[in-house]
Amino acid sequence: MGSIENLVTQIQGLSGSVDDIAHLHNILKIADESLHAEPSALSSVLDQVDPAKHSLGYLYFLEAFTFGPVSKEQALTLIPILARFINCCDAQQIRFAPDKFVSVCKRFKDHVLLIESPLRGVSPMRAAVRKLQTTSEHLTTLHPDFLLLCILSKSYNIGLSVLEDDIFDVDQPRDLFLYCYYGGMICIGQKRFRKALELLHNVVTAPMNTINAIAVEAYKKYILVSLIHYGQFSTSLPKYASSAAQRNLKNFCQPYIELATTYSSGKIAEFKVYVDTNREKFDNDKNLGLVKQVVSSMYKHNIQRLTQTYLTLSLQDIANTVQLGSPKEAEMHVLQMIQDGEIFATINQKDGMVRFLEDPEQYKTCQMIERIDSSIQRIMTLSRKLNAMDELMSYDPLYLSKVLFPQVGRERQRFDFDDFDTVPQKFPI
Amino acid sequence: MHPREHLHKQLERGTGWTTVRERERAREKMRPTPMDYFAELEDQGTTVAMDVDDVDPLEIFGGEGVLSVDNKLADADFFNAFEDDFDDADIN
Repeated sequence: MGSIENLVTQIQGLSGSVDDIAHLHNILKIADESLHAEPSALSSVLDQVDPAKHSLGYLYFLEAFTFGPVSKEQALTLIPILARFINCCDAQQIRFAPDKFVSVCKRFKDHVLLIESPLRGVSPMRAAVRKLQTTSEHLTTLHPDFLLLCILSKSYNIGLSVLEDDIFDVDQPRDLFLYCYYGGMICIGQKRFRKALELLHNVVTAPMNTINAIAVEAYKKYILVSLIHYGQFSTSLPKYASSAAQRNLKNFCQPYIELATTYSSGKIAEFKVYVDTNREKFDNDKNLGLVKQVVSSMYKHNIQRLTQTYLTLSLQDIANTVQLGSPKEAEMHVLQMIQDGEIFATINQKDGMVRFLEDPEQYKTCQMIERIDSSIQRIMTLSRKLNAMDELMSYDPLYLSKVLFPQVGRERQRFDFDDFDTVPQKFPI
Repeated sequence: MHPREHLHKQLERGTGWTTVRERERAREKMRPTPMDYFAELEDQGTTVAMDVDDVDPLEIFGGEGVLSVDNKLADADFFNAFEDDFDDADIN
């Protein structure tokens, strides 16, 4: 206990300048083992240390104190302590021991899940993500945990705020898979289908040596969201998808591939039969709700197709063509689509006629110009970043060794004689 | 001198060496190969992985065979126990 008291004194004295904190960190690293040996002695010590001013020291104490499995009652006691620390700790200090901070945050997440109260974890975990990030482009290992809590607590809007950041730095590949999968689910929950497709696409096409379960689940949702949003789906994966995905993904998602094939026929009755026949499979995957959205989208896409052929159409004709039960049902669908901006039309309720209109957008309002300008700026920034990454990669020894020199045992030569310039580049031909 | 030896020497000297990609681009500009004329005939649905991660086609016919499926899923223990929250019928 005496050594712990000394440690408290050192923490209180060395939490000022960056140099002091660096020195303190070395002391804490040496003392870490002894802290884990006496976790029960730390509960009284935590009150002597300020989590905001002495964050690094507090982190080491807290990490040792919360180590190991806990009961629900213990979790209830620890959650407010952990939440308070995460919310008020100094980001500069905890970045000296990011692994410890991650451990504490993950334990916090586990505790809120244990007591089945994920909402209590949302705000502290968002704060934790921001503190651990070195920049807004940095994907940390806490991002997926934060999004997971958002989904479980149905706080989709809060999760979206983090998903708006463009990610360029990733700590672990698994983090990217989970971030994009959970992020896709949050976007689906907010009906941001285009963004959902972008994120799910990233999971499906990410490099993988063996087929990944997260990619399989992402592909299932990708198929469904593609049908909802675009009314179509292509089974061809892009060329940059890994060979593991190219070879195996479809085999794990066969019912969904067949669902897409049935959808493409445009026959609603046939499609509904297929859905009912395979209801259990979709339900087991917790995708039945999305599948029902796919069914609704079929009516919508069939109505959208009508706008390409007709200028006016009666509600009765729309109901017959799209296989809706009655003109009233057709009217409800058309009204909803007008409200959502999916078609431009007017309904004359006297004669039951729908008049389809052109998109009134002229692309010359101030808001539209600002939006286009913002997109251009974003693309230019992205282009500069890609060029910088490309240049960095061209100097990377690992990349060079793989590209320049064939691996042992491979029969195919990457380059032939013509690929080697015998004339230095400073004397171009 | 073997071309590869020459390349090694260029790397050591740090002179006149450019990236493979730059040379490929220059070569494409200067001397289109017969392969370019067949680019349009390439099947858009062809599932070919990018070059760096490309698996040698010969590998497909060795080992496990053409139709083998890797049933072992990586990260199979990832958390996915969510309720089905996407049924619009639940929204009033």
